[in-house]
Amino acid sequence: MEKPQIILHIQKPVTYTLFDAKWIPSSAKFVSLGNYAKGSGALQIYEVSHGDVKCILDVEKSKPFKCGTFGASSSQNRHLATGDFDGKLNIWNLESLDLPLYSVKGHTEIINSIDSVGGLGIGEGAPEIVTGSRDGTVKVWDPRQKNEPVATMEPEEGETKRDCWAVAFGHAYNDQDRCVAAGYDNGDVKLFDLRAMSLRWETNIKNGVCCLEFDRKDISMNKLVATSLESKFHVWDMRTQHPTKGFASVIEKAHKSTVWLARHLPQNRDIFMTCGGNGSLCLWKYSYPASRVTKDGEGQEMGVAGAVNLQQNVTLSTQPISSYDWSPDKEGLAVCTSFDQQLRVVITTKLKTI
Amino acid sequence: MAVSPHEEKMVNLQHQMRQNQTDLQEFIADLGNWEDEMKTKEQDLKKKKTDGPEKMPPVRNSLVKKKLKKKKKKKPEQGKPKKISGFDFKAWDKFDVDKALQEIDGEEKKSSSEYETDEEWEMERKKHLANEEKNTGNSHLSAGAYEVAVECYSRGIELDPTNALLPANRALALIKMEKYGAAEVDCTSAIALDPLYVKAYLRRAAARVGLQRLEPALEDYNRVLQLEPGNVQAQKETERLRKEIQREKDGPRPEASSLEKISTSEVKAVYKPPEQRSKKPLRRIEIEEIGIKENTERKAAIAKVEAQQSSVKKEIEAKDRQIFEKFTGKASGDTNKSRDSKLNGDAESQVFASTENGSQTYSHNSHTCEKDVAGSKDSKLDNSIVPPVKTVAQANKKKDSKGSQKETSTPKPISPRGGVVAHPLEREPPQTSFQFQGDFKVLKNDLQAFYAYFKRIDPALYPKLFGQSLEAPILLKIMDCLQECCIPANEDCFDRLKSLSEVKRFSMIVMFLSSKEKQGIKEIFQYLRGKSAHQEGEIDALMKKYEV
Repeated sequence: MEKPQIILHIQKPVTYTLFDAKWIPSSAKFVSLGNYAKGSGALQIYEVSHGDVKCILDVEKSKPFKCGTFGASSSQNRHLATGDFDGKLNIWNLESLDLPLYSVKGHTEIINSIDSVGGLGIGEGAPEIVTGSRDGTVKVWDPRQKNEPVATMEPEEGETKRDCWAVAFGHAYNDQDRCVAAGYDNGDVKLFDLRAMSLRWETNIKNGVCCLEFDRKDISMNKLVATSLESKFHVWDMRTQHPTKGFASVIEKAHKSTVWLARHLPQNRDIFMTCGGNGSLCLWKYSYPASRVTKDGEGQEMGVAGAVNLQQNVTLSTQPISSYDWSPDKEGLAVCTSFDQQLRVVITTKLKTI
Repeated sequence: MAVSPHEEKMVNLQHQMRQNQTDLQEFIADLGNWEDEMKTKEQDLKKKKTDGPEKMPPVRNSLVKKKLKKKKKKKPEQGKPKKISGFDFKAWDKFDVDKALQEIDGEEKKSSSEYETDEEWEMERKKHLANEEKNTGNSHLSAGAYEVAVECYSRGIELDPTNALLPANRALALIKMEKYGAAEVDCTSAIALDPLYVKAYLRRAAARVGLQRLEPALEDYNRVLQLEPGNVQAQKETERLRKEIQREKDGPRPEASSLEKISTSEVKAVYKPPEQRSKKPLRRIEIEEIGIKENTERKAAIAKVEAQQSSVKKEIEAKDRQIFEKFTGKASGDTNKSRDSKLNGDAESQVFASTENGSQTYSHNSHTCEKDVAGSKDSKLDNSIVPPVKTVAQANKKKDSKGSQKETSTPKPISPRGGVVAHPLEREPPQTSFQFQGDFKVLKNDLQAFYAYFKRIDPALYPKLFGQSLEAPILLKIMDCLQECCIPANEDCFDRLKSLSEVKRFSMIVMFLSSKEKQGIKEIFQYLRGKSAHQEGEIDALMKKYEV
């Protein structure tokens, strides 16, 4: 009766392969990024207006864009950071896209994933962008520092380089603490502590990690979601770390296909959407256990995982959903892209009543 | 009315659908409002954009990466040295315990040099970045892109205000851009950061020279010499500056001071003040080449003219000789006049000698001399050959105006000869020793002209004029001319003698004068005594200085 509804509001075809779409903060506009068939990069800005989306800006760049983020920019400037197929990190002023404000060839291969924190009033501390690439490295950038990353996480010499598919910031609750989670094609999940500059925790979820996201970036680590191949996703309770067992987790099956993405609702950290390789969306709610902490036989504290419940699901496409972004300004509004070259504005109702 | 479960379900479903529909419609209506709301919000944001930058936490340290690498490297290193077996006594014999201990100590030091706090990391990172800015700045500097280099250094200074190299390098770029004031300030700050930084002193001195602040510049060079007694540049510059300062004290600065040029020019080491330059003026090859070319042309011209006018010339020459003989014969009774005639005779005999030897060599020489000194002087000097015939004509000018008129008209095809020798009064008194030397070379063969010239020089300027360049020939010539011209004219030359004796190197030159040469000087003093315009004591003291 009170189940939320996921409704396709607007659908818009485009002439390029869509990889990412992001709402421009404090606006009814979003940016879409992708790859033209001829191998150039597409960057478009759309505005939602009375049941339709209008393309208000369309530029083509030399290299295809894989991913973008606004999170390291101030809420006034709203500069877009993008990662492209060439391994370049660029920061763009959307009002003058001729030249990037910041450009660095951060990686030797495609940047698969990008995340940022410290801007938009989200996360304490310096504005930083993290990029994960096929070259196996994860690099943290500060837009104020040209040419050089402020931190690099790479495999030690001699170790095989794994394709990094996912990166996420979290734990940025004061101006010093900050964590980066990185997921690799072999199922490795690594948690780097940027304050201590050390690997804080690592695990392997057996399948390639398609997406990682903390439920919130700007609080002391609470939950981390990792989605993977073979239609599974993991949710870790990140509050309590056991010296040997690490974090407690719950594993859920979904989509009967690769789970490409997990995106937490900005207005409610316990609700998140997962997107599947079969073009479906699933809305989940995480329920905490009665007690999140317990003690093992030796008196060490360990976490207790909660449960995830499917709230709603819908199939929008026959192709994988490549990106999904909740509007930070309007609860329930989201934009998603899929490989069928369609932009979709999606409405989810009754999120408040879950 | 009973409702079947199936019907109830249907009703519920319908209700839910309706509910969903209204929900969605509400949402969409709300969305419209929200879109408008967002538009105004965005406009507000754009308006607000003038806000200043927020205070941001520092950039995370980039050295972390290096640290991690270091750690990685250490591991295999530690694994490398093979363990020596307890029974491998030979190996133990070779084992250097001290070295091993040192290695361990070294490792400990390394680990302690790693940074403990974020602040240290941040500092170290900034220093690292500043160093990178410095390196890019240096490459720009060497490429000649001074402004870009200055920008790089400025960024570096912002990053690391404790690095003395950055302001010092920026100063160098500024000096190259001839912004001496800013360069001086930068050097001062570099020195404040590192009081033992020699280059900063050198650059500040250069900047100060550029600003015409010679004495502070000299102080800087002295400081460099304190720090680095063997510094060649500082030694040279100190000497040069001392002279320059001395000269400035003595009189007004020559306007086109060589110093300025040097300080701005890039090649400093080559510079030598005029008095230190080689005393072999003909060594300046380029000039000689041009001169030779011109001279050959001139020779050709002269030959031509001579061929054309040889008959006229011979006539005039013969006339001149006659007049001269007449004149000397007449003048024999009068002592004063005999001196004059002697002088004229000297000059003439010289000239004649040169004509006999071949006037070309003479004119060539005098020409090169003139050429050599021409650069700094009035263009009058720059004009070439003094035909011997003419000198004769000039010497007898008063006596035979007709002849001289003819004379001046005849050698026109030969390059015009400025009235250098003929009108000594036209020559400006020299401002620099360089000028004087040039003039001297031109005038030394004409005692009268030289005297007239010399008379116009303020005795107070002598030390400045002659500086280190006073040489025996010059002194002797002056003495000669005093003896020959001053005494007959009954003029007081005491002040000049006294002033001359104050010139540097004077005593040295006097020491090497022969008794014959001193005889002439003695005569002057005797004449002065006879004049009794000065106290005996004064004259005695001066004579002592002249060692006569």
